[in-house]
Amino acid sequence: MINTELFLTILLDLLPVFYAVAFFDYLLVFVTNESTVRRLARPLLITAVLVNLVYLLAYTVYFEHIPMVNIYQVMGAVGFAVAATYLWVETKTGTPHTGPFILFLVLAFQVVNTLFPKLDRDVPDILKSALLSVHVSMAVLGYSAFAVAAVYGLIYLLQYRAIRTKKFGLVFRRFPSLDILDRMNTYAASFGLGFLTVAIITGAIWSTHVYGAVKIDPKVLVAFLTWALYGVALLGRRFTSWRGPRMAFSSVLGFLVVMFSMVAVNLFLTKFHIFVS
Amino acid sequence: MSLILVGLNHESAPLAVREKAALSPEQVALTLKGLRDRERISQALLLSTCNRTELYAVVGDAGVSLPQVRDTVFTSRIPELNGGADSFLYEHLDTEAVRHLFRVTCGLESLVLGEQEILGQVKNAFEISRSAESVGTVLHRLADHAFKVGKRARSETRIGYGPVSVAYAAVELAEKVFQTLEGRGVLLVGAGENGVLCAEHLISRGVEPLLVANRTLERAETVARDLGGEAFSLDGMEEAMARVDIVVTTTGASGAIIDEEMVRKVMHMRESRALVFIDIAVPRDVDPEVDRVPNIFRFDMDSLKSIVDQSITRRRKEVPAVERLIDAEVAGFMRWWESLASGPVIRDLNRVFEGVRAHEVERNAKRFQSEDREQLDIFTRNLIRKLLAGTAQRLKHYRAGNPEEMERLAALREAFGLDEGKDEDDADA
Repeated sequence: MINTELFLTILLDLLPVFYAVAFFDYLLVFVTNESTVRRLARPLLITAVLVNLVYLLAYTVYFEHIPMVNIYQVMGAVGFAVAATYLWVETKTGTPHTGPFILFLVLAFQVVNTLFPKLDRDVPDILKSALLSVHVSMAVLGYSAFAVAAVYGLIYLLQYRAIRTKKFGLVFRRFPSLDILDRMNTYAASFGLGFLTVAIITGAIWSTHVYGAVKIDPKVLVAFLTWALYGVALLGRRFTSWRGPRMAFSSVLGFLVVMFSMVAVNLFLTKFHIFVS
Repeated sequence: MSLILVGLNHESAPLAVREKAALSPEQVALTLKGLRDRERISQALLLSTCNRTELYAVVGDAGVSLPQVRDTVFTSRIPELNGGADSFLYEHLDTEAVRHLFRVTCGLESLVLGEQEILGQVKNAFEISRSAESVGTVLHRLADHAFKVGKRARSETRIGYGPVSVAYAAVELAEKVFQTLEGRGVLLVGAGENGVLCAEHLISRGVEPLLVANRTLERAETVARDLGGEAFSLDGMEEAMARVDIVVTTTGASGAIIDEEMVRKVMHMRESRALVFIDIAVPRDVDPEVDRVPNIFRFDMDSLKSIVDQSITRRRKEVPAVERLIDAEVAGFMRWWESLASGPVIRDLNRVFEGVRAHEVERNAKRFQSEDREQLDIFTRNLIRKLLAGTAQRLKHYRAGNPEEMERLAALREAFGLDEGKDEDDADA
C-alpha cells in the first residue's frame, strides 16, 4: 500500500501550506480589513481544516489507530482541534480579527508535525486500545481548548491595556469587546476543564486495567495541577470577584503550565506516557 | 441651456449671514414661486439648512439668470451681501454645479465630514420643490443621481465610519467594554444639558435602569422623570454606582467628586464587575487616580475627543475615493445632459425604432416567400422613416438654449426609453 502512504505524506506536507495561506490572509484582514481578503479568509481556513480532517481519517483507517503516537503527531492533532474550535468561535463572535493570533499557534503546531513525520507501523498493542484512544483524544481536546482560552486571555489583556491607557489604535479597533473576549476565554477554559476531567478518569481506568493500579508520574501530577488551577479560576469567576483581567491572566498562566507538561515533562522527565522511542 | 448654482455655506459666509440666508419650508416654496412667476425660472431646487443655502436652477441663459437668482434669493434679503461683500457667495455652472451638488449629498461639503443627515435634507428640499411644481425631468434626474451617489459614497467607502460626536464616542467606548449596552445600568451624575444629551443617546441604545444623582434632589427628580429614571442625592451615589455599569458625570463642581477610595469601596460592593466612567465635566469630576483600580475604565473629554479626531482623520483619507465616485457619476450625468439636443434625440429615436423594426422583420421572416422578403424590408424601412420624418423635422427647430424645449426633449427620451440600458454604463464609467 505504498500509494496510500504516499498520499498521506503528500497531505501531511501540504497541511502547513494550507494553514500558512489561511494565516497570512487573516493577518492581512487584521491589518487592512479590506473586503476581498476578508471574504477569502473563512473559505481558506475551512479548506485547510477539511484537508486536515481527510488526513486524520485516512491515517486512522490505514494504520488502524489514531495518529497520536508521538509528541509531534499529538501537536498536529492539537493544531487541528484548535483550528476547528476557532471556526466555531468565529461564528459566535462574528469577527475574524482574532484569527491570526489563533492560527499562528495552529501553524506552528502543524509545521512541527510535518517536519518530524513518522508513519510508524510497529506500534505497541496497548496503543490500539479503544479506551486509550478516548483518553488521548480527550487530553488533546482539553489542551487545545486551553490553548484557545490562553490566546483569548492574551488578547483580553492587550485590549484591556489599550482601553485603560487610551491607546485607540489597531488593537482597540480590531479586537472584539472585553465582554466577548472574557466569554470566549471562559467557554474555552470550561470545555478544556471538562475534557481534561474525562481524560484523567479514562486514564486512571486504563492504567488500573493494564498495570493494576493508577500510576503517578510527573506528567500526571502536572495534569492534576492544571486541572486544579482552571477549576479554581472558573469557580472563582463564578462565585467571587475573580473576573475580567484576573481570569484572563489565569488562562495565560494555565496554558504555560500545559506547555510545560506537554514539552518539558515529555522530553526529559518521564518514561511512562512515552510508548514509542 | 445651463445648470446654475448660487449659494453660500459655512466656509464661505459667517454665521450672521448664514442665519439670515436660511429659509423656512414655506419661504422656500414662496421663493420658488417668485422665481417662476417673475423671472420665468421654472426648474429650481432650493436647499436651505443651518449651514448652507443653495439654489440650483435650469435656465436658458446663465448670463441673464444668474443676477436674477442672486438678487431674489440672496442680496435683496440680506443687506450684508451688498456693497462688495459678494465674496460670501459662490456660483457654479453646468459640470461644476452638478459636481457641487454631488459633493453636498456625499457629505464632502459638510461641517462634519461625511455626515448622513445632509442626504435627508436634500431629499426634503427636493420634495418642497416638487410640491411647488418647480421640478422638471432634468432636475428630477439630477436629484436622482445625487441621492444615488450619496448612498454609494456611504456604502462603498468609509466616509461615514466612526463616531464624530462626543456622545457617539462615549457609546463606542462603552461598547468596547460591554459589547452591547442593552440592559446595562447607567448613573447620570449632575443634571446639566450635556449629561442629559449623553444619557438620551445611551437610552436609545437600550440601557436600563437609569439613575440620576444631583446636588439638589429636586433637579434630579425632574430629570429622572423626563428620562424615565430614578432620582438620588449625591449622598446616595455609592449605592447607585454599585447598581450600574456606566457612570456619566457632568457636574459643575470645582474639583473631583469621585476619588480612588470611593471607587475601591464601590468595586468591593459590585464584586469587581467592570465599571465605565464617562466624565464629560470640565474640570473633571472623576479623579484620574481612579485608573489604578482594576477593571475600571475612565474616559474624560480628552480621550473622547481623541476618538472623534481619529474618526475625522480616517474619514479624510476616504475623500479621494469618494471624489472618484463623484467624477464617474458627474460624467454619467453630463453624457445624458449632452444628449438633450435635437440631434442626439433624433438619432436615438431612429436607433430604437430601427431596432424594433429589424427584430420584428426577423421574427416574421418565415411567413413570407423569400422573394417577398426584400419587399418587406423596404416597406418597413419606409414606414419607420415616414413615421419619424415629421417628428425629426419639428425637433430640428428646437433652440439649444431653451429650457422648456429641453424639458420636452427630456420627456421624449423618457417616453421612448431612449436611455434604457445606458444607466449601467454610467455607473461603471
